[in-house]
Amino acid sequence: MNLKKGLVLAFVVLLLLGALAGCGGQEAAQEPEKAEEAKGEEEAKEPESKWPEKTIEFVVPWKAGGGSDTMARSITKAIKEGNISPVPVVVVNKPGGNGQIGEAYVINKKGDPYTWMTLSSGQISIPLAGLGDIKATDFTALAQMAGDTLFLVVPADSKFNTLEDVVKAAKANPEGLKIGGSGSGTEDHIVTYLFEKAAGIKFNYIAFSGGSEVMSNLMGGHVDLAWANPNECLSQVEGGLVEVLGVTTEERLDSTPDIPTFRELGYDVVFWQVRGVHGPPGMPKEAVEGSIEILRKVSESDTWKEKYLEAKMLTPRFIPGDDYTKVIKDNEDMFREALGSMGLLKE
Amino acid sequence: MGILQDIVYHLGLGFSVALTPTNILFAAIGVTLGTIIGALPGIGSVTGVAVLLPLTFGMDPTTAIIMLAGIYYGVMYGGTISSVLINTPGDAATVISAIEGYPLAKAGRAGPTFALVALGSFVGGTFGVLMLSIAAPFLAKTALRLGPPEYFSLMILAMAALAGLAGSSPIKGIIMGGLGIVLSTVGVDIGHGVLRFTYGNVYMMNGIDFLPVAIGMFGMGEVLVQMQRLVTFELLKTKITFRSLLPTIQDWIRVRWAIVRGTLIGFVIGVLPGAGATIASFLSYATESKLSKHREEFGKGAIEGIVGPESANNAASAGAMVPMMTLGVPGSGTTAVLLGAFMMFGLQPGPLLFQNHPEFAWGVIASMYVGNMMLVVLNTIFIPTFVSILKVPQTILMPGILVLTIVGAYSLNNNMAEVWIMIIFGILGYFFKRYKWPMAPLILGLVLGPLAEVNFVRSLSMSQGDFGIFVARPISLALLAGGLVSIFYPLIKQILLRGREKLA
Amino acid sequence: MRQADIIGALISIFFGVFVITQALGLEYWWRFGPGPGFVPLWSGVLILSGGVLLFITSVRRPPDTMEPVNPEGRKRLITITVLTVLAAVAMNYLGFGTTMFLFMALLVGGVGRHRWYVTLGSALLVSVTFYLVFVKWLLVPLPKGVFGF
Repeated sequence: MNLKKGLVLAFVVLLLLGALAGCGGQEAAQEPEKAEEAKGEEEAKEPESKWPEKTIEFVVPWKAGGGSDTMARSITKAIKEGNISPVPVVVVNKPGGNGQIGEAYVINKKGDPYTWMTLSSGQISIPLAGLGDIKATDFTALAQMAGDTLFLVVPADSKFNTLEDVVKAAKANPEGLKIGGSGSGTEDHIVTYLFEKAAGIKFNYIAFSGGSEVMSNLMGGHVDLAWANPNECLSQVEGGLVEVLGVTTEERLDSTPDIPTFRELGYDVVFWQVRGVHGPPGMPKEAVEGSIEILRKVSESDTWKEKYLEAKMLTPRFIPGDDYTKVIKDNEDMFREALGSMGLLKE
Repeated sequence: MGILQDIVYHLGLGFSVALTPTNILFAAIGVTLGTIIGALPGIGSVTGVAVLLPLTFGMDPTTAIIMLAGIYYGVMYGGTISSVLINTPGDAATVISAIEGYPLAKAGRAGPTFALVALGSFVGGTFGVLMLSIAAPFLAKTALRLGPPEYFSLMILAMAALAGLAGSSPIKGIIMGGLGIVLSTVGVDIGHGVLRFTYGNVYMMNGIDFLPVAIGMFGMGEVLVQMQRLVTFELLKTKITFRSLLPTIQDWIRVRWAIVRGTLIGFVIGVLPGAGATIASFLSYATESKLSKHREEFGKGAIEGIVGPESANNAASAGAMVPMMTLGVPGSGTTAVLLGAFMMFGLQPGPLLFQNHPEFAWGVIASMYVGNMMLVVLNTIFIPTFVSILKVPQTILMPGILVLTIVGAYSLNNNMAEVWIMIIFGILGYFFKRYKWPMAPLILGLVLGPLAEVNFVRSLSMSQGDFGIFVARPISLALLAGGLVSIFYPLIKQILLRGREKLA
Repeated sequence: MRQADIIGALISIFFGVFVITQALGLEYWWRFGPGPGFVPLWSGVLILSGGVLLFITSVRRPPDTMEPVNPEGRKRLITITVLTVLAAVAMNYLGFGTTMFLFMALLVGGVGRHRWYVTLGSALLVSVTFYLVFVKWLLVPLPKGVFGF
């Protein structure tokens, strides 16, 4: 057989195989659904739910090692250690495109009972800032797992010791104070705006690529102030390299009772970052309920509380189902309003 | 207690931890895994450490971090193997190594290259750890003084130094550099928070990462070139003798300053929280290409052009531990994951780490001396094994490499998008190679371009539009001046030479 | 080579103009400094001017000839390229392991014309090794096909 003939034959074989497998794949994909329907009927008779019976794929639309990835892996760890779920939950990273690649993957699994996805506040603001099309409200909200907040930090040798000092200096020198945060049109940017609005001042916001870059530029004195999540600056605070002027919660955090809130100092800045778990659009009811039950047990486990919430200085906030849907909706409205006033709304 | 006694005491404490049988064993496991992960394209140190992190659950924290750190710096050794042998960079920091390393391998000099790279890496890594043990807090604080203007000037220096690398056709080099910069602007613009050139495509939003581009252009492009020609390497005809695997005295002499320079550059860049091992390897390559006595060999297999950058990336990986351990600020993706690992074990990296957990901090540092020793041995005794890959017939080896480039590109983001980027640049790479368009400037534009842009925008935002910020700050001014000198270096050298001739 | 350089120059000019027109759609200047269009515009200018320069210098050069590609080589080249593209497409349906096995087999046997046992052996070795390393050990979620790998 000469080379050419061999290759032509090879192509044909490969194409055929591809086509066959394509059909086969679809069939295989359909079969469980059929089985699912059949089961659904059975379940109508039996009160006991059959969900889950397949591995749950837990999509993290961000890189391995990041905040969302850590949460997902902590959830699976708690599940494994506490034997919480009868089926394994496997973390899959689908990073890129500001989370949009992973989100598109989950959107395409419409109605799938065995897919979860992590969500952080950034995924709410990104589509509003015109950096993506998929909205947080497009997914089935399962449960908020934790709340994170922001500290306003200054270097230890800063001339500012209180929020009052900052506001006074900012009033004297509009846009003269440099405030660092991660990204443009992001939570850090939005909370800067909230503070500006509450105090009637204006900062020069400098966008950095991530939390650690913000911290090193703050410590190096390249910006005057910066926003940081508690766990991003804890070691520097304890080591006396930076000081916290205020926290954006309604009440002081239990873990840091000495740090005043913006609100008690007279500036109405309240900001929570959400960390939650979502399912694809149209996730079946039994899967939603089952998932919430698993996540509830996770949130009650010691592994979760000690190894994740405490270690990451997060606030325990388990909000399941419809209440969580409302949290996401409220957040979206708040972001939309803020970005609109900032001139950054690009829906 | 004096400073010296302090260091000796601390290192003594560290070695007493690092030299327990368990910790030696896990350091060995870590560096071996690191070498393997490094050699696999696509799986870099970030993914490697993140994915293998769960293996350490339940271990003693010190042992766990010793192993994970071992993976991190092991990758720097391992990445060289695939860059040199199959022209497919195993890790971002070893992309530049393919440029000189692969021609060396084709000339049958893979063995000596590996030996010298192992030595350079060892020197770089050990020097880095040494500095980490004696001056970490001071270095970290100094590094913080570099802000956006300095990073911008540093990128300009790097681009200026590398501008001369276009080889036979500087015009083509300029075009390729421009192309690299344009490609780097695809996706989300961090400085402005807008999308560029995405045309509504989710995958374009992700931007074009330089690794699938490099894997495609170098790896797949070379496979296409080789398969089209199907001429076997010279090496296959000559028998591999043990002697041919060893570097000659001339080689040693030739690379000695490259190692020193690479080590210094690598460590300094590594300590900076905003640069990292990849930039360090580029800068070392640029330096060698300017200062080498064999400048005409660059691009065709100049051994100092690989030994320097490899010393640099190892020194940089040790340097990156400095801000992470002393300030709690990770300077690279991998140190960020390592920081996460520290915290998972309840250890808070930062100013108090050395006070609160001295046996842990010094144990990890001491283990890095041990790990580097193991790596140099590992990477030397296995040279014959590595090189024997080239004995595989090309019609089997090349398809195997293709499979590897596909898996590698996929595993970058667990996505087919990177595979397509890799294939497109693989095909382009073939044409670039055939029609002599230099590929290095494209890679440089892709890597350095965004850093230059974002820091440019940031600096001007800080100064409210005043360009004076770049010259008013001494370090930034010095870097810019360095850039100017390196552009006009050939001219200056000529003038100096002429002056000397006149004197004589 | 001269001809190829002229074509390359023309492509660069075309691409440079394209980049410039696209960059003009983005804001050139921002509040304090360069806007999102600044860098794309100037890199477009760089590509365009490089293209023009290359065109001028190449046209002036005397015509020359390049080492021709032998027909066998060209055939291999096209085959491999097409097979790689096909493999990337098929991977989603057939799964990583199966596709790579077929891909290796076709390249080693078809293009490399090795004996069947060499073909089979190398295809098995490569696909199984990579499957074990990437999927089983490093947990890369490579596409699974109808056979499950």
